[in-house]
Amino acid sequence: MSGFTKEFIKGLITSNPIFVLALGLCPALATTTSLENALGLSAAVTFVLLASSTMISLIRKFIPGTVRIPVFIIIIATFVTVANMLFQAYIPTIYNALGIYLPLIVAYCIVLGRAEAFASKNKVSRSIADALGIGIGFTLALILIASIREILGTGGISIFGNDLFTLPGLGDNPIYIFILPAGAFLVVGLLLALFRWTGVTKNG
Amino acid sequence: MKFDHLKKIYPTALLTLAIIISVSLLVISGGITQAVLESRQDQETLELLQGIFPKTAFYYFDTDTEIYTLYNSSRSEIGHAFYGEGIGFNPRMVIIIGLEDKETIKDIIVTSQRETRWYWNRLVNSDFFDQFKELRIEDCVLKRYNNDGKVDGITGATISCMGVVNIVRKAALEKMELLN
Repeated sequence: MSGFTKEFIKGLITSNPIFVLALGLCPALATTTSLENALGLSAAVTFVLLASSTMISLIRKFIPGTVRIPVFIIIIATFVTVANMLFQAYIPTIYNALGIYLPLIVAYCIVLGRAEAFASKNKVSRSIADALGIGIGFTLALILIASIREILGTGGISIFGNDLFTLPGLGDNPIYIFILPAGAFLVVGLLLALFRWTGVTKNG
Repeated sequence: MKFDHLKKIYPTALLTLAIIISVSLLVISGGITQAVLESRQDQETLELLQGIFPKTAFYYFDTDTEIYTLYNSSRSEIGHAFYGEGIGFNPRMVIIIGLEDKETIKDIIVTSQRETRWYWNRLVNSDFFDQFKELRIEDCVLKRYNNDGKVDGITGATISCMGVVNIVRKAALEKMELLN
């Protein structure tokens, strides 16, 4: 397996940011009330991860250790602001639904963590693979959590105003707790336990 | 010696450069997205105005008087519209008011309000807002407070009704003077 593929796969499963590293749990809990919101936030996080990791890896040899964190923050904040502007202009529905969680990406430990732990120490191709793997791993985790919460909490799934499906029976009597914060903790906790138990996310 | 000096200012110079590049990138992105935002805002305003004057094809906004002048597709003036704001049961309620001529209200649309939902639904589910269609500005008074008034309030939501009537009347009288 090539180095690129290895780094990519690692982010998807054995270093999955939500189910293994337990990074970015706050947005995972807050924005997964619907699949639409989860996709929007995941797209923004993946974009910021990819752009900032590539940039940091490119200039890593020129960044002195004393100012590395401020430089990383400037780079991350720039890409977060760009993502914020793009969302506001082109997908206002998701921009409004995500609210404060979109600009807050700048403070996600997952983004700064990958910049500090990986991109600042590795060459560009490996950093891109790592960012893509972590970004897509984050996306898959959010899709899984949001799907479960939306199906159980509303009785079906709808994206951009189109009803994908409605579960017979549950559509009329949804279990509202799943779209409330308590439901988020329940779903994430049960999924974490399930993955640990089955050994899917076991490191190495 | 000279090299040491350069080494000392290098981190600061790098940080400054990073900030300059960041700001430049944001200015470029802002320029691109601002045009899209303004275009969408124009479209939203047009759709809102069409809710009062369905034949509106385009509008002109006077920044001094804050009055929209509306035109149909054959470029004839069909009316005016403007925002009014004030307090209902809770602050702050914003209403767009359309004037058919300088004395008659065409219709109104409440664009934002923070009234108690239960009371507000009583207004929405009644014909309260229909009373403003083709209403003369001088008649825009609650019947309960003035026999000359032509607007019936909704029992149980009187303060919200009064808020709407007051906002519409105050804004219409102010703008009518500017139009004259």
